[in-house]
This record gives sequence, structure tokens and C-alpha cells, in this order.
Amino acid sequence: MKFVLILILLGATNTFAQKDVSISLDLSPKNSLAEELEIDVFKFYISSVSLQFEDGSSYQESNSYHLINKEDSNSQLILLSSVPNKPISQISFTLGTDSIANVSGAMDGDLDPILGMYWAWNSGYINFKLEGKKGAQAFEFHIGGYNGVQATAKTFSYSIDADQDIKINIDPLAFLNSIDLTTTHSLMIPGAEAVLLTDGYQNMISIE
Amino acid sequence: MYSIKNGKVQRTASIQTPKGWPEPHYNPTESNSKFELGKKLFYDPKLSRDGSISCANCHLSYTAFTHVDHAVSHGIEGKKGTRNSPVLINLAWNNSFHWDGGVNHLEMQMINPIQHPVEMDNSLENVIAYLNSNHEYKKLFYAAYSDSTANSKSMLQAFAYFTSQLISSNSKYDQYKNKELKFSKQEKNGMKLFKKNCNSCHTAPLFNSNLFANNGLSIDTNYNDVGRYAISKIGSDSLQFRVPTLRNIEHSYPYMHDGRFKKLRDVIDHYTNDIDLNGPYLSGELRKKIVLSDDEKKDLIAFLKTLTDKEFLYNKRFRPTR
Repeated sequence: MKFVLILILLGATNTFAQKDVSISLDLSPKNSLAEELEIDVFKFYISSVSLQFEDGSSYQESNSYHLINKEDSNSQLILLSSVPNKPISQISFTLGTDSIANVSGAMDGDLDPILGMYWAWNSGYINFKLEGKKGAQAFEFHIGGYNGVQATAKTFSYSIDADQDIKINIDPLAFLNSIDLTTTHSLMIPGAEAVLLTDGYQNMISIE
Repeated sequence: MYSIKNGKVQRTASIQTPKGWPEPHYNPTESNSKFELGKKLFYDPKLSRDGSISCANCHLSYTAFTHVDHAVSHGIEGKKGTRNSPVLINLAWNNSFHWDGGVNHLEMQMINPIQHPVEMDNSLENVIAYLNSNHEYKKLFYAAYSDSTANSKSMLQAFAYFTSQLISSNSKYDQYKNKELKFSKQEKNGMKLFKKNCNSCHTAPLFNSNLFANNGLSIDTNYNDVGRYAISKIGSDSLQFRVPTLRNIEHSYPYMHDGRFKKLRDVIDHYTNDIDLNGPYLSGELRKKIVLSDDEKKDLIAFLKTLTDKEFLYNKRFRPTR
């Protein structure tokens, strides 16, 4: 099973030297292990999306918080509008939410606490939720925490070729393979264990 | 409320900081319609799963918005919680909520009782759907936001608005400080004892601190509540709990996070007699033994009773709108 984040650059067609950039996720099985892997819940935040251009300038999406949900194909499309029409050299994004989102009170949109990605008893967003079964082993990971040593948001940057569609794979199997599921298969609180699990993000994300 | 001054839109803050007080952490723009909406939510049992429990069940206005005579409160179907329901006083000055400080913003507090299985045991989805099906709420949301459709943000902000307005600043103590009346000899002596023994944590004028401390209570073996440690995961935070305000303390019994003490005298006896001065997590302020004579304890209690604010306790504005 693979989760593919595709960055589609829509060709510039207007005269304002701007373009729209859409990012979409393709959630489809990846390899032969797929039948042994059952994903019931896969939701995570992508935030602080930015693009760097070949001329050294950059574009930062404002109010950049996106809840990606395996069950909601609409969530798998992110549209960046009014992007300067210049060759793009790099994309950066954060997997998770920044501390501002976590300490500023009631939010709406993709940060609405109604969406099941918020801990009320220990205020803060669940940045990453993955639940399912690998072989006979059930697992549920709710990774969150924003404060100091409990922070779990991680930022990634990838070079991309300008004027070419970009695919970013987000592969939960690669994440799970970074964990010994026989000993670690359930975590639903912030803290050191959650921070340790975010080490698996790196393996999970790749550029094709 | 907004006004125009020098060509700029000015907002009118809902909270006027009382004289000598610090600025509140939370001070929304004045809005009577948000107050009324928040108040209706506060008194509405339909927010609970079976329509039986409102916020006011455990936070009664006459008793400083706590649940007197209940060590821990009863929620839905009579289920019991594990902590004493806290007073709702001067919350706008708090920078965290709950006995363990797990809630970091007043607007996010309300989600806890709504979702907690032994409190209202409901979901935000259900509550928002209920609000959007109710004609009265549609009118109140429209008045507050020019939008009759409720969402969690508008609900949480209106609710936080109401709770932020529960301000107690006109106790006998305040009137004494404002030179509107005099203290008795006993109250004066009690104030002196308070300043010496209590004020470093329960600091005037709010009589709290936005800190957590271990005040020498033994762990309650019914609940095994580790307090702040559950949030921070820092070992030295074990058995630490919020330093609560002492305003209206006369009316907010029983005391402590688990409501183990029924009377103020029990509380003071704990501080003078029952603290293990070598306890590993004990607050530094309590490592020196507090010594008070029987008369001094009576004087201290007389002072604590000057923190009662009848205007706050009997404020009709905080009662349900008829």
C-alpha cells in the first residue's frame, strides 16, 4: 500500500505571472505486503507548506494547515493559489501542527476539534493517527505533543525538478517497519515515546 | 462592541482590570450576546448524552461555581469522577485549567466535560448538531456572530466568554483594601498570619498562582492521582496539583483536588500537623514547619472568610435567563 502525495504544477496560463499549484495524495497499495497490512485509520496534518524557487525566493502558504485523511479523497488535494510563476526548486512542509495552532484556543477549518484530531485533557492536536493490523498484530498510534521536549511536528524539505509533476509517497508500511510492533503497538499520549516514533516519519516519506 | 477613534476601529475589552490586579490572560471583546449564548450553554442539560447534566450541576453559582458537599462530583447516570470540581472564579487570569493544568486555553476547556465518559459523555458532533436543530440557539448564534449556524469554534468562544466574566473582585478583603471598611482585630491578625504563611503560593490579589505544587497530601489510594506528572511526564511534578484561588473559599468546601477535607480547620491542621517535611516532592515553601496556635488558626480562618464576595455569589447576571 502506498500513499502518494502528488504535486501537480498547473501550467501558467494567465498574464499575472501567477499560477495555482495543487498537491494531491494517491492512496493505493504499494507492494506484496499489502494484503498483510490493514489500515483502518490514517489521518495526519501537513502544515507550513512552502515552495522555494530557483531564483532563491520562496512562497509560503498562509494559514497552512491540512488534515489528510485516507477516507476523504477531498482532503488529499491541496491547492496552493497565486503562486509566483517561476521555476520551483524545493518543497518544504511540516508533518504535524506548529505550537501556534496548539495554544491559540478554538480553531476552525481543518483544525476544528470536532475532526477527532484533538486531545482535550492534554490540550493539543493529534498530529498523526495510524490504526490497523499488520499480520496478526493490531496497532494504534496517535502521535502528538507540541511543547518543548514533547514536540512531535517535523519539517521536511525535498528538491524537485522545476516544471515537472512531483510525487511524494507517504508509506505507512515504511513507518511501521521502523517499529518493533511486538513491543510497541499502541500509544495515545504525548511524551518521549511519541517523539521517538516520529523518527519513523523520515522513512515514510519519499520522492519518486 | 466597537467604537471608532482617530479613524481606527477600537474594541472594548469585556474585562476592566480591577485596581492593583495584573492584566488578564484572556480578555475578549465585549459582547452581551456572547455572554447570553455562553450562559445558555452553561445551564443546558441537553449538552449531555442523555440530557441529564449541565455544567451547572457541578458548578453552582451560589457556591462559587463548585459542587459543595461532594468530594468528587457525579456526572451522567450518577457516575463519579476522580477530582473535586474546581471553582470557576477569575478564570481569565489563569493560563491553564484543570487540577493538572492539562488544558492550555480557556476556549478548549469545555470540550473536556462534554466528552468525558463520567461527566456529559457526549461528542462535539452531537452537541453541534443539537445546537443547529434548535430555534432558540439559532437566534442566539445569529445575535452573537451574525450567523445562525453553530460550529465548534463559535460555541467554544461563546462559552469561554461567559466563563471569563465570572469575576470576583468585591469581597470584604477588596473593600478593606479600597478603604471602604475596616477589618476586626481578629481579621487583621489573620491577614498577618496569611501573609507570613500562605501568600507566597496563594498570592494576593488573586490568591492563587498559575503554578503546581505538592502540598504534602498523601496520595489518595482510591484514585492514585499523580497530578501534574500525567501531563508533563517530568518526575519532579509527581503529586503536584494546581494552586487554587482562595477567593470565596468559605463556600467552596470540600477542599483539595480530591475533596478530602470538609472544613477550613481541617485544611489548616493539615498544613501545621500532617506534612512530611522530608517528602521527596514537597513544595519548597512548605519545608519549614508552619506553627500556629489554636487562636491563630481561628484568626486565619476569620481572614479567609473576608475573601467571600457576596456580590459574586448572588449575582443575578450569572443565573439562568428566564
